[in-house]
Amino acid sequence: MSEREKCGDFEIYRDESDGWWVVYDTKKNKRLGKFIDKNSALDKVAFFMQDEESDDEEADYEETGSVC
Amino acid sequence: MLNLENTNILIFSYNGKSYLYTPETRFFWRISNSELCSEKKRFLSLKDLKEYYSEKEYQNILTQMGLLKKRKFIVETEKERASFDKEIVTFDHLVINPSNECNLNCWFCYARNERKKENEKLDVERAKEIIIHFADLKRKAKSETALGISFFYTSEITLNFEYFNEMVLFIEQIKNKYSFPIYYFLPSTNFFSPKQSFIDFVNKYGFLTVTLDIENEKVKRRVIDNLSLVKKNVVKHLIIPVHPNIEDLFILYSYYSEYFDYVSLRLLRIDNNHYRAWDKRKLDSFLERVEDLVDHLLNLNEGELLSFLKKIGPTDYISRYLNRLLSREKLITRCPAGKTALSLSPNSEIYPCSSLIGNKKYKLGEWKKNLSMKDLENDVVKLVDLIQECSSCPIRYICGGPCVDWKEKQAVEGDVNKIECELNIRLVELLIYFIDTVKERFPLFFDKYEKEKKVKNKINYSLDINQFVDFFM
Repeated sequence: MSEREKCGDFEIYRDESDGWWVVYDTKKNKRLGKFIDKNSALDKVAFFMQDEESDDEEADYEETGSVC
Repeated sequence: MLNLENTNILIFSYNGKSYLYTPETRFFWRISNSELCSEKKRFLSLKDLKEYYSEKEYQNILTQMGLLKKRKFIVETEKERASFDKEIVTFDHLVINPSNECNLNCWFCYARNERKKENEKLDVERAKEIIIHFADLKRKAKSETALGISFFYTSEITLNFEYFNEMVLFIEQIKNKYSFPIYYFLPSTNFFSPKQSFIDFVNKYGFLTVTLDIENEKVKRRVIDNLSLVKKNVVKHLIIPVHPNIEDLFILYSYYSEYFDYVSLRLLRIDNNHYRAWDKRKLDSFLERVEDLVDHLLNLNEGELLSFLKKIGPTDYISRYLNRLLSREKLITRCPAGKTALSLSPNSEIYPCSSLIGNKKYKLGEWKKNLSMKDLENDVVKLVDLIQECSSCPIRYICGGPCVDWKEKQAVEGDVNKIECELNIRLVELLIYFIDTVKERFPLFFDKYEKEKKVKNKINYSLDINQFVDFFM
């Protein structure tokens, strides 16, 4: 395994056993995918970092509730 | 092909640091340049930086921006926007204002002028009919989102608590007839003369929001005394209406945090002819107070800072911007007024927002038995991208556009209120500086803040642009 490179909650590293690049979410302790080259792995990290999805519906409602 | 030099971005300097903020993705980074950092500056495109960098350095910046563009951290403002229909498909929040009565006459109350008029009161049975009608319209539209119902935004609830109680019982009776949840909200009170029935309700409800005129000593003392009537386990939230001449913000938050679990400062939209109205000079003075607050907070240790921020309430103007920056939330409109939220006046007139009640320009109609959603079509609150003056503003997705009520109060011609724009952009700049400086001192601070405040921390990457770009090389 190559040295891990970190950006935000995400890490990438090269799995020496097969040469593929792994994208890992350190916050969720979850492997997000394996990519044949580093560039594709970095694209994936950028994609996850830009993800606008929010699972915090309760907070959204609170904001809406306090109209003014 | 994205023209980087003309891309819509915000670059600014504050207190020896410079930052670049990109509106579409809402990422920001610290950039280094001693000359740029030497004084407060603001630029809205990369080409404005040319005079601060050598040709080689400038080309290096363009290369960095090119990489950020390649990974889609910087994107071009979309040319085609989704149309923002006037049609109301559904709504989530109904505010019923049964009266304008109050036992105080606070300078900041937006129902003050209405109160001078003949005091009508919305009949209890009619209020029930209205609730059923709107819930049925929501059901007909096949909406599955929750319906929140609030009362008494234009009057004091404790004067008419029996009315509220009857509404609560009514909502409890009907809510199971709908597939979507129906909630009611206890409104803010001045808590000056609460009756025992109100105190009993609050003790059961578990939450109390008080709006306080902190400059009225008599009211202030009595309200604080009244807090002893409420059980200790009731969450107590204080809203402090704030005008531009306010003094030390840190002391203000700290003092009232002794009595309340949460404190929210709400910046007041004040009539232009009022002596407390906002103008450029008062805005600058207020922003200096916010700068002082930020300076003060940056001198606290990690535990003190977290404790301080924990006690800031959900409707606080400044912390809303902090939370939006941290979560990289995208606001496409300022608020839900007239779109997913509607307000009713005591005489059953419908307005987008309780603050606009009485301003006939914004009256959407009157409640009637055959009222349909089509009757209420309006574009009072516009999609921020469709407001010409906002469409190229770098912070448009953080503020969501102008507050219609504030624009009216400032008697502004045109679509935006420059006072509000300058306030918001300066707040964004200050809070970006605050986030970066806190992260430098306490790298895990905002992860702790995320847990405490349930605000997503999406600013968990290196804010140093060189480090960030290096990772993606």
